[in-house]
Amino acid sequence: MTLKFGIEFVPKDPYWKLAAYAIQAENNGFGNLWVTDHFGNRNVYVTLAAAALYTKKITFGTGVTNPWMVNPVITAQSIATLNELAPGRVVLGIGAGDKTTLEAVGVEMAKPMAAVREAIEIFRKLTAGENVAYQGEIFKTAGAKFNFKTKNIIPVYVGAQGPKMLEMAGKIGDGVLVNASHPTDISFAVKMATEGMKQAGKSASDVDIAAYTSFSVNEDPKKAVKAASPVVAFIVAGSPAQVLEKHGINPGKADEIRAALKVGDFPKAIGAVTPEMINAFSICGTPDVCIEKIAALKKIGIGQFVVGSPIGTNVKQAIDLIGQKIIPQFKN
Amino acid sequence: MDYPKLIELVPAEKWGPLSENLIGVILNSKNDDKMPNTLADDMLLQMKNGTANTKSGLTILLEAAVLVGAEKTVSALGDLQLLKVAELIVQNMLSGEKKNDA
Repeated sequence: MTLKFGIEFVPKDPYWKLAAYAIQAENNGFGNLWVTDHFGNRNVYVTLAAAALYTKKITFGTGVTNPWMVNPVITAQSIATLNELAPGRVVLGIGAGDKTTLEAVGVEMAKPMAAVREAIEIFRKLTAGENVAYQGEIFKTAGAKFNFKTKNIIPVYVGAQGPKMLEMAGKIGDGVLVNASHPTDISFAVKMATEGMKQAGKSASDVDIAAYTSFSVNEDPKKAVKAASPVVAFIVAGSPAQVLEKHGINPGKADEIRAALKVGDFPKAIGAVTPEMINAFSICGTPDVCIEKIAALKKIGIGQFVVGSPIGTNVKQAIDLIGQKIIPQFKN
Repeated sequence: MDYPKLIELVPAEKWGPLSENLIGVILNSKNDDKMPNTLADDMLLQMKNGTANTKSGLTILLEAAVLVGAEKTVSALGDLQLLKVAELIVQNMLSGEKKNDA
């Protein structure tokens, strides 16, 4: 089976740069575009609108939004409106969100499983044209309805990491976005998502399981590692002890990175990133090395491979490299 | 600067590589605020329609590249042995500086 390729962009650049990268990604064989949602960056929906206007066939969506920052009714409205700009090319990506980010704006991340499930239920009802009177544990609506029609069913991808969220994602999602790069983590995710799919009576072809990785490719492996290290430093700093232990990472080294990041000493934090960390939390190296690692994930059962930050030392060159050397290896 | 005239000096076999190089200059530039929205939109339309490597597309790309990264643009032109175009851009930049000094 052909492996789909997706690409993640962080809207820290202006809309026109992301739209240009989106065009380039589309021309290089990427099938999916994911744009992150963080209040510190440009707005995800405006950025996606620009991508929609300047691309022709790539599928795109939030990668990922959360149920709290905006009411699910507005999330549904935004996605449904995007679907008018690019009919049938839009998906919703939604997950529990990042605790630190939510705390920064005073939003409590209570009952994440229920919040994600309810937000998806509201989304599906609204985009199906229903008048939604919803009494959930987290969200309540008393007769919410769109004054416009959504012409097609919009797929929902659930961002998940923990076992219960992964299981739920398999159960209720049209896709699962697994924020991991290592085969051990992807195997676990596929297993849990499959469990959820079984509970819902779904088959493997019903749910698109995507490995949403930290990715860095360069013909020079040292340059690939150099580009990946800052991203991996942040992943390590945000990983709980059991995750680090699972990958044989010295907790003391992780503490060193956390301490350096806390005081803004980025060179020290990046310098403390070890090859074990790079291997555990990224797909990184020459095109051949990346092909081998992606093939291992495909064998586990993913249907989509998402090339996430940093992508490479030079994003444009990396997209071309992926399009020329990596994607063709996974056609059929 | 008369960008259409400058592009007339580029031989057709170099349109493709020049287009790629100029897009590289634009995307790698840190001077995002120097890019006018109208020019950005024109550039995106050319890219979307697959005409960024035509005379009209290159004219827009060259203007955008000079605005956000003149030195890198000159260097990119030099890499493709488009020395006359590079020279004219440098001359234009220098005359602009003289005008500003005056």
